[in-house]
Amino acid sequence: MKRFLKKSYLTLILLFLYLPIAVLIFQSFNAGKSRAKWEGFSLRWYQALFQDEAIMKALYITIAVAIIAAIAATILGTLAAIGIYAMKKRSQATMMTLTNIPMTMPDIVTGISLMVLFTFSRIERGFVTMLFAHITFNTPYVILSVLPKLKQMNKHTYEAAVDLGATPTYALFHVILPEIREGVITGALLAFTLSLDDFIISYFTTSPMVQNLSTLIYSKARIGIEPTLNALSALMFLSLLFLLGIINRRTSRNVKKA
Amino acid sequence: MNQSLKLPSWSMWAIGFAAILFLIMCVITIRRNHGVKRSFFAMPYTLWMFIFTIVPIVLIGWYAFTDSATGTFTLNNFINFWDSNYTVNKMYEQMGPEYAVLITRGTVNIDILVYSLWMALGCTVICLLLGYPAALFMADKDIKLGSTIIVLFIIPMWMNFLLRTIAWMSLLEDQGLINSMLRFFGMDGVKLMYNDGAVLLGMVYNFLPFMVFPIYTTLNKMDGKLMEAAQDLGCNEIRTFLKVTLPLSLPGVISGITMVFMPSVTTFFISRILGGGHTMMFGDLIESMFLSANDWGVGSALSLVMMLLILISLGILRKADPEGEGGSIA
Amino acid sequence: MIEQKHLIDLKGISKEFDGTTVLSNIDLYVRKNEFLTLLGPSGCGKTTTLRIIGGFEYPTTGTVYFEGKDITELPPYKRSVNTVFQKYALFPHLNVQDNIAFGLKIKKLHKDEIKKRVNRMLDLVNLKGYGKRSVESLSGGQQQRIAIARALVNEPEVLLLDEPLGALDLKLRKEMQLELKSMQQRLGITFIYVTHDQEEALTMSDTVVVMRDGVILQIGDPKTIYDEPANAFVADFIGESNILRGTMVCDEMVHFSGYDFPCVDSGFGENVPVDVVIRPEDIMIVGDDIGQISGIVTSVLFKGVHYEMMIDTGETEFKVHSTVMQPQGSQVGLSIVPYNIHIMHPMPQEPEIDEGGEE
Repeated sequence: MKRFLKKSYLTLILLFLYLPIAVLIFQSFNAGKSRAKWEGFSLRWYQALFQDEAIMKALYITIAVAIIAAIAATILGTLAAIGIYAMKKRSQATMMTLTNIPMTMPDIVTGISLMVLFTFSRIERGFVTMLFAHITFNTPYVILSVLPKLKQMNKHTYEAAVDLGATPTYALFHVILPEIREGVITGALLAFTLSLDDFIISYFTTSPMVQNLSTLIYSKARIGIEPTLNALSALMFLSLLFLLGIINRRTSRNVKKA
Repeated sequence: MNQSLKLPSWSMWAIGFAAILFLIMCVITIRRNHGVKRSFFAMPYTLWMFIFTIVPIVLIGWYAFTDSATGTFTLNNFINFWDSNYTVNKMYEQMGPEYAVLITRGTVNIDILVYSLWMALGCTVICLLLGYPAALFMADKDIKLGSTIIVLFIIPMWMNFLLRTIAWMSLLEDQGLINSMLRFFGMDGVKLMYNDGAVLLGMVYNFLPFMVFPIYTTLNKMDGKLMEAAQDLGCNEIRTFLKVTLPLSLPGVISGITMVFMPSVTTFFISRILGGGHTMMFGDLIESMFLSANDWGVGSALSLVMMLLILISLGILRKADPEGEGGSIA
Repeated sequence: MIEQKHLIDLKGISKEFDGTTVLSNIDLYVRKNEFLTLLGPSGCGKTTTLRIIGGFEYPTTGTVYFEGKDITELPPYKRSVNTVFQKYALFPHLNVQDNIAFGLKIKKLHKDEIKKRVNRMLDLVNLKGYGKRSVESLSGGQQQRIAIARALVNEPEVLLLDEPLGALDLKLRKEMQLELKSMQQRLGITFIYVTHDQEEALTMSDTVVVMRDGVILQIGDPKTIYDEPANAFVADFIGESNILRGTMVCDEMVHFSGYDFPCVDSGFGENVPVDVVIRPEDIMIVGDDIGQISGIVTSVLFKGVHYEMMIDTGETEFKVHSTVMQPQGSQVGLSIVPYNIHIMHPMPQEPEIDEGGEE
């Protein structure tokens, strides 16, 4: 009985979390444009989606920014983590404070301060500025997922490689990277999803000419969202689910191997 | 697309210069690397964070303390923020009658700050009340949910959060799902949208997982033998919870409160969608100061006030959990 | 056979970490084919010395010579020295065979050559057929052997071993000690070995270097270190001892415990305070009437091979090892051969001598 109550409580909470998503996916198959009235099943919004230039462009920008930002943040962050790990206690603490600043700063302040920076240095906001902003807020997350892996490593492993004749660069690629690989991948995926989902920082660092999906949705929120956007997010949601499935299978395979 | 990518030619120079600088730093890093100085690997990152985190904050501070016209030191931006009339006039001037309703309600500047804090507090309390039992049941070894349940909590966060919030509109609207159902059963419709309740709902909806994760993590890490020991020593289930489980999960609770409270104070989108622009939160005020009113001085002053608030609340929470045991989802 | 030629010379090595001195003015040489052990309690600077030779730390002052050439600033990957690390530091993402082949692959040897050498090494460490296994599936002792094989396959001039047997249980440790020693003699490689276990040091080494607080206290072969400890600390750290305050009456006569004893040392001067060290097994228990001094047995402990008895003479309490047990409370005589009384200058500062000296 108690078990049943506990489970029903969890189910209710999950229902609360999934309800709007279900509504959203449901609406994307609605033949009519109204949010409230069901006018029969149709794939018309999915068709319209691929013909909507604004949405396709926004999708392209979103994915491009997410991929480039994730790659740049992963490189920057992994190098930084290795560097921080090799530092002395005091400089390590300073670097961690520097890393924590953008993470504790509210998104709106991060976004606005970057906007101020770009405007101040007279750089026109657009794709590049948005990309830089994304790299900035992504990198700390990469560092925080790589650093624990480095700390788990036997601290003599690197020395062992150098002792056996490896140059530091060789040791980095053939010993350290394989060992922290899991952390690097986690960091990259985290950066990618954060970047994909970001609205506030993108909103302040891009121009109305270069919109990603979030800012596009925002600009349309007042006029009324077209069901095409619902169709798009339903598709993206499903592809992310698919991605998760692949990752899950990969990790469970790894577990078996070890 | 190409059009929008076009930047003034000199800014390309600037970016090019930055890129070259970056490459030089990388080369130095690798060269140095031959001297087994791995700490130099952090150089590019340090440089990057300096340019894109430290410099912007300094700029905000600079704008907050200088007069926009003369460029001299002033505290007027903070004083103006405090003074209702200034903001009221500014809003009339810049934003037109659309915002008249705000002004008549008196929810300007300091009121907005208090209102935001109240809303954030309300959201945090509701999240805690809803989230703690959820985390407790998730970590319950009797039900054997494993890690699937945590994935189930993460998945909704992958749907664009703007769209998720907008989807609530279709549920809450006068012609929306809930009201239609009420009418179907012969009841009168209820006004669900465009009030504080709707805004609070949207906030709880968005931030609830951030409360559940850290509490779940601490509860899950907890040694099950502790509970057995407490029961062995004669505690009943309720006493075991109050004397053992609850105190030990406090770090997670504190971390959860931080992770919910901070974004809720600063949120600026939910109130616009679900509050219908009738209510304004602190985040909205900052945004409108920069983008609509074009008053960077007051906007920067507001940002500084907000950062101060965050730092104070962080400081209080750190005191309560000095070792930062709560951990986060990442 | 140990050659007289110096392979490694440390000249005036000092090392500071954040203002604290870890090594002060170390002078040391290592000869070819020597098995040299750095021995001392934790924090004595033995590992730092090894790491300076390996190239992982640079000395604050001083020079490291290898075959007469200055290698102080040379990075580890350019030194013909290999290390066996304390917790092995095997590469977990590589299997046994790839771990051993790591150094050879960097040298870009031919595939067949690598395979041949790896197999030879697996043979040497008695792990034939383990090549494809993942290193994490091996036991501590097996990982230890892999770590040694991984270092030796590069045919280094010197092998550095940093407490390599520390993580193994007692029986396995004894086996590995003998195995390492015979391996060293067979291959003719110089070993520099770091340990805090005095028994291990005495069993395996040609030369033992006893260190404490960043200073070398004594260098010598195991027998000299044991029989002629340079001071009370060395005596206490190497095996068990009775350390007493005494006075040199004149040459070949020392006063302690209320009596004058004949000894073999001379040249200290007259009426000079000295430390007197007597090993517990060097005190003979004789009949009450014929001993140099007499005392009462206060406690008896069975230690396996021998009995350890505490004998109180009224003035001092002696620790005595003997295979013959004397019942507690009995009155016995004690006799010490002059040759077994070791006289040494007192330590400059009052040393805090830990009981037993083992960790």
